[in-house]
Amino acid sequence: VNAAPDYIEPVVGWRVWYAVDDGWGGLSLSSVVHRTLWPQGEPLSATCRRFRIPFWPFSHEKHDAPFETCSCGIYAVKVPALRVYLPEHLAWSQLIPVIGRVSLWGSVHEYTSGWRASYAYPERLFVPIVELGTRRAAQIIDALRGYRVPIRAVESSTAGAVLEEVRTLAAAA
Amino acid sequence: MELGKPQRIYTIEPVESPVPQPVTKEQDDAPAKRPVEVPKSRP
Repeated sequence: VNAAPDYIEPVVGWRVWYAVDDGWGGLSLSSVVHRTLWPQGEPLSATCRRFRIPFWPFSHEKHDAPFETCSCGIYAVKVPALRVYLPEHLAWSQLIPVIGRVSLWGSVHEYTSGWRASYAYPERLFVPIVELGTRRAAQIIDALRGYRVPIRAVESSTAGAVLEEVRTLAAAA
Repeated sequence: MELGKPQRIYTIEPVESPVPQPVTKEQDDAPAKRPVEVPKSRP
């Protein structure tokens, strides 16, 4: 018997992704820590990677993600905690960071600075375009339209300024 | 990601899917709804 859910609206947190080649000539959002590609048009579903490693001495029993005594699940944080995931000067970064709001649902573990959840999907994306050039920036934004969420270009060049700009844009949306 | 101290655990089942659905051709072709005209009251 399924218990009634506690809430019917997703939690909305913040994340940083990288825009990476999806292997099919397009771009996908990729998690920063693990190279998990976020699908377009369907939710990302969390799985625990620890029990996948055979003979790993600390492996857990197979469990749903997130699990209380494990670190698995899809992560999102509150804005101040995003800072550590952005390079100080975005123009020097070889990767293309994308900042965004993300909806989380399913089983949700709440912490003081963020959440771990079993399902997630981007809610709104912000692409820092400094040094990308107009054409490349347009290509990246166009490639991410497959997520069917609002996308805005961000023109600031330092991590602090980008977060401030993103916060202002999100508040005005 | 560093999440801080655990607070609580709960379940969420959104009534509406957080995944935007593709716009169907019918929706795309549908004419924009006209604003409802409110008849003026007569004296």
